[in-house]
Amino acid sequence: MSTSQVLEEIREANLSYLMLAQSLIRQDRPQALYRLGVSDDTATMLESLSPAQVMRVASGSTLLCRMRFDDDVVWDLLTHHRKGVAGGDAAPRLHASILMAGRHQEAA
Amino acid sequence: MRVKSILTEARQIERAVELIHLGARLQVLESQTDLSYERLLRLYKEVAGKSPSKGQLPFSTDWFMTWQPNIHASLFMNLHEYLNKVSELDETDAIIKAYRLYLEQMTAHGLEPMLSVTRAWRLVKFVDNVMLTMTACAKCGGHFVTHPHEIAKHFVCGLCQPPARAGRGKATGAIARPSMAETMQHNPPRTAPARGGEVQAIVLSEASHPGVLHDALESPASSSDLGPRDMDHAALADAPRQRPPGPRPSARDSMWQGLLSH
Repeated sequence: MSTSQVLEEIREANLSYLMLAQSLIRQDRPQALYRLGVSDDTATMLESLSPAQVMRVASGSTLLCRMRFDDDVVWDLLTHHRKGVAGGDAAPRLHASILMAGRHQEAA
Repeated sequence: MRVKSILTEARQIERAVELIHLGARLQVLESQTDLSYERLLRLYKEVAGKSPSKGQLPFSTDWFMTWQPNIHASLFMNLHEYLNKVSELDETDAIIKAYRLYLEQMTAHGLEPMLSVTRAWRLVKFVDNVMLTMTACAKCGGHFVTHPHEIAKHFVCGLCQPPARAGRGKATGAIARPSMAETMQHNPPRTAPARGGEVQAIVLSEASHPGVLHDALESPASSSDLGPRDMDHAALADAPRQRPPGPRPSARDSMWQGLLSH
């Protein structure tokens, strides 16, 4: 992938992220805060961005969204499909959901 | 209580309708809104197209301690807490929104939502009144619904350490067979792993080892006649949301009354 291609892809991803975030926040703010994992202030800021501002913010060389979990536990639960574990596939995924839903300190 | 403001009333009716759509019982509406019983009844019939179901609400905290319901309840409570922490929500709205997120996750995972909105509301009340609480698992750090005064240092959740035989059932939409979860009703998984399951297992091997059955049945307070017990579980599997079996101490009833008037 060439540099210009990389920048183009990043811009695309940023743009869809920002637009999705805006529509989520406008639709149902508390639920959006959970889905996006951002703080109330960040949500207010995102919501107030005009389309032109969104375009400007999106076209940088870095991605605006990042990994929500960086610990092994959640990662492991989501990626490893372990046979023979109670509940099969659903149990580890539920476990991961519970762990992620418990992390409000990052957002608040 | 008489509602003064028409706007407040409109908001409350809106909330009541949302709750009815989610399948809430009439008692939930009575508790969460100031609307009169008659109006709520009429509203219920109009929205749901049928009379509300009668009878007592599920009142037991034990239900939340069994393996599968505990996972569902913990997920809901985590969502509820998350919403409460990040935004200032009205109590009813928080329950509705958290419950919607919970339903969404169940659909995403292809599971049957075991926790009804009435149970979810109950759970929130139980936690508010410190009859249940959230304890962090010593292994994974996730927060799970437990009895109060759980020794946090040694608490390991049901997902890190699933009880023996849990989740062996292949029923669709369940993490485990409902009958299995119900079997563990009075044996919380962490302290006494799946004693009910063991009993069933022993029953299977009873033919080859007579006598084992007797020992196994002495610890749980149950009749040694297995026939009706098994039928009980079959009935429970059909209606997993019904009131759990067992004696109903009057202390519970008064507590329940206290909660309602809250």
